[in-house]
Amino acid sequence: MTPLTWDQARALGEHLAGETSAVVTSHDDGAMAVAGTLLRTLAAMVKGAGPVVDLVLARGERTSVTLPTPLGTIVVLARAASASPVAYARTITHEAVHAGQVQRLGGLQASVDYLGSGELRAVREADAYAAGLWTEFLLTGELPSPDPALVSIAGGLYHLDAEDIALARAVVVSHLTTIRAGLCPPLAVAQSTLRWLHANAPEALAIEPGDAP
Amino acid sequence: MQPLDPLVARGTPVLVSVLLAVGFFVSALAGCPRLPPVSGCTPGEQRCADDAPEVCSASRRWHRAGDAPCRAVGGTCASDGGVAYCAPADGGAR
Repeated sequence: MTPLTWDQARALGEHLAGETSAVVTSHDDGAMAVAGTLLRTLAAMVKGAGPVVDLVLARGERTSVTLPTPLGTIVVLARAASASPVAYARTITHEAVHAGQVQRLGGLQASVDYLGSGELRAVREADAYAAGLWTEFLLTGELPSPDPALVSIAGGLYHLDAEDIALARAVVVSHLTTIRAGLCPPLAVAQSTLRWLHANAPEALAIEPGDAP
Repeated sequence: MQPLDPLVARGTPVLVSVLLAVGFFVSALAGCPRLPPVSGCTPGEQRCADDAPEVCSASRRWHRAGDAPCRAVGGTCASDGGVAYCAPADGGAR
């Protein structure tokens, strides 16, 4: 096994962005300022959305954001995504799940769902975290603990109450149980990531689906 | 054909963007979160439905885990110890 390179990680990101009709940019490109303005405008119109947006923007350097705009979906990657190719791949997989949600539901409905319902936010974050854990599993061979993801989901960033956090936890546990059973989680982005790695970076795969941990 | 005045040429994309943005946000005003129907399930309960794992929320709605059925990943939905998930369709044979 050869570790994933930066070129491969970025190529995976471009592939997932292309499949979900998104454009990927970094926090350093000034895109966060534009994203912040759009998010605050939208938050003003969706009941209960303000605290969520405030928290996301306050942690802008550490938090990646997928933002539907009238001109398309923009993924703004946090600086933390640049820590390593695996961190980049995990982060871009997570955000691609959100971009896929936007693609499937439409930007308007995806935004209103996410900002207006803690329950829907919990499920969509849980799916996205699970896809990131899957990518990390493929590239390291170690099934990541769900704990950091659950701590992140519960940590206030997403402004979820205890019941929403329990819902997110149940969804993450379902996906990890699927991975332990030797299968890819039932997420289009997770499947696409596996196919891409198989075709373009097979040496970086630390594990084959079917090798139950 | 008359060439566009440079000011108009520069302003048109901006205007279109502004109109799109206004339309986007005005439409958002009319939207509500699209939650699944209340089903009366027990919060925390899990099940398989349409070959996909589902989890019951505190508001007694079924939420699907994932965006595809288990057959899309070569599996079938199963439930074990109260957890619904995708299991190998062949029962684990490789």
